[in-house]
Amino acid sequence: MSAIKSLTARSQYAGKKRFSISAGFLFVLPAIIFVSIFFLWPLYKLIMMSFQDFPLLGDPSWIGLDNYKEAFSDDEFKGSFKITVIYTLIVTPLLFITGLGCALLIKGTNRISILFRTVFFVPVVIGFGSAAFLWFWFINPDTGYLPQILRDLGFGEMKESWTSTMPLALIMVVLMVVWKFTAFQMIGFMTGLQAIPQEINESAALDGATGMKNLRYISLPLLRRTIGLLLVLSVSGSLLAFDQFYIITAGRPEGQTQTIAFYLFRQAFLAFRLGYGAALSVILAVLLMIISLIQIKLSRMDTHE
Amino acid sequence: MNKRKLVVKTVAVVLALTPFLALTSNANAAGPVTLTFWSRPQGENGGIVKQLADAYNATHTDIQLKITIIPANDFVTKVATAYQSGEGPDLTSVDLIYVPFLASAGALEDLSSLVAGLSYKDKWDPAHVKLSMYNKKWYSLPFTGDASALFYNKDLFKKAGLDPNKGPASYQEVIDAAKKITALGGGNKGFYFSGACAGCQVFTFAPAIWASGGDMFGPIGEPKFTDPKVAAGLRYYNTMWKNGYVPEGAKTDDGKNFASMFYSGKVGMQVSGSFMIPELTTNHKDINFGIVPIPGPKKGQSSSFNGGDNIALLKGAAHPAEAREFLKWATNEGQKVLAQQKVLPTRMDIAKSDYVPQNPYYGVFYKAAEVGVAPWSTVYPAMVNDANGPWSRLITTTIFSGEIAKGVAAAQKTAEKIYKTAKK
Repeated sequence: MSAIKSLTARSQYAGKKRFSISAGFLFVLPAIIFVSIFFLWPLYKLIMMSFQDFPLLGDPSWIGLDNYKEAFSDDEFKGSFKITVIYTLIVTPLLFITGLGCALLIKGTNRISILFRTVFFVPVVIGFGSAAFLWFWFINPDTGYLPQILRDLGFGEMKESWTSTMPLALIMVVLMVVWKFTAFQMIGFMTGLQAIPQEINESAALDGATGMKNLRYISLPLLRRTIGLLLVLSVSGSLLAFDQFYIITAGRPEGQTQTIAFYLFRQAFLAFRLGYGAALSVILAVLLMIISLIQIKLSRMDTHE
Repeated sequence: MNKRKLVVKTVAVVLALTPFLALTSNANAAGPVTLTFWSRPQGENGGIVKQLADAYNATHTDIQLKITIIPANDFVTKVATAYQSGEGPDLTSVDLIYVPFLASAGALEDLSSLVAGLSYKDKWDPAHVKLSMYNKKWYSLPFTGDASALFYNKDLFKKAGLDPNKGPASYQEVIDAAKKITALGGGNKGFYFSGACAGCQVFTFAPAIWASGGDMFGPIGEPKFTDPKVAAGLRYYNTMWKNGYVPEGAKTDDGKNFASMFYSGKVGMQVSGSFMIPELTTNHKDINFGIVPIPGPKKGQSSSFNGGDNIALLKGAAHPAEAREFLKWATNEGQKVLAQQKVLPTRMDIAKSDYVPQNPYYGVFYKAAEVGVAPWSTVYPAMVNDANGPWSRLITTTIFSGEIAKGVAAAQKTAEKIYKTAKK
């Protein structure tokens, strides 16, 4: 009898499980279809293209790993890889410091904090292209405000363009990105800071952890997840940098500010070598995936959730 | 009973014939053939092709044109992608420098038989004819012209003690005039060019090289940057730059300030196209300007970049016969419509009769088109237009640094790589 009961129960349970699996599958089906059509299928096509000599017009031909071999011996690609990494290494900690700094300064709920928060956030809502154009004009030696202000303050004639020499050209782009994205990081950090229970801060204060000590031993460890997320966004965004360089420096001087995304754009849409452009995209995508996985792994270490 | 049978039979016959009747009525309702025609924006306000279509549609009942305007930057990619997927138009007006690429990729119909029957086939300007050809066959027909010439500010010439009615006619005369105008002070500069705009530089600076008989490319687009006449042209511009006759912003101007510097009235000379005339005569009436051909190293030498569009029939077009009929009209009566709209026709006989008399300056552009050049290359965007390509690097590493031999060698090396990759 008991055996029969247990069998019945198991089959009922199994039935429920089957139902929940199929119901769950149906719920995620739209997302699966969406991702398959707009992400997986194009990704598959891109990978296939990277193994072909794929002109803009005419028939493609299979060339195996030739595009990849060319990429790894292409000095211009190596140069673009180097500048992209340098840019990422400069921008990421800078955004981290300015974002966290702003968040700590204006995390309060008083009117002045709210006002500054709004003012700081304005650049985030401007399109990247528009923001880059704004800076292009802002720093122009003939018509821009910034060289004029420095001229008026007696810093010299400011005749030389700021985007025609290195490292000044790179610094101009970094400044623009910091101006544009600090508030995005700030909001991220503020959300994280506000999520820390007040009791923890109070008990830490009783133990003498205030100011920098509180930041070092309480806030930062509890912000680990937030920091991880913001780092992933910042690093992946920086490795994919295109608009800001395309508009502000256009690769000047002599291609020294040409990022990976910029170089692959040139290969695909100016040299019309879609296959080679696809191979460079795959390399960039793999690089991004590895770095993001490492970052996510690191941000989850030592947490017991 | 027989009557009933007859009625049934009649109904059956009528029903059987209905589809044919419907077909006949459909054929009558189909009306004129509609040709699809893609173009980049051209002429004043970018609407010249639409005006041309209006003129054609008003005078033709059997064929009608449907125009689609596509932004210039995306044009070739859009046409190529549409062609690959079988969604392309019947006809396309295309920047003439892209014709060799499209023809070499097999996207265009051979129009040689059509050209053979045209009475005016020897009346076109040489640059548009050269770029129509691939493997000695015609893959497009000359359509709109856009030549470059040297604009100069007569008031600044007068102030600097130069003859305002006589523009410079050699490299040295340009340098001397630029020097005197810069010496006026007050922010005045002798000469302007958009140094970081590769496309502008081929339109404005390359003619100085062509005027000397030199060229950066061979007949099939092979790079020849090491031609000593190319170096001489670069030295000419470098002389003006290093002596401060050119505003500093020229070095990084990617075309955004192309015309505004001349409009400011503080620049003595600049190479440009006829598109600047309406703006100067309407919004900058205070600028008293003159236009002369772009000079070469010696007096009497001059050249121009003769740009504009060619018109091509895409392979697989839905209405090739009707498209050929339109091509005949576009290269004959259509050229007169272009001239009326102040666009330089590529038919030199019509340019002379209908375009030149409209404005005292148009004669300069007409003569410029007669001697004008356009580079023939199947990899033009990578070779010339790319802001990091060999032509752009040649300009930035020589004119602005003075290291001409080094810059020429580096540009030649990059250009050869692009040329060889494309040939492969």
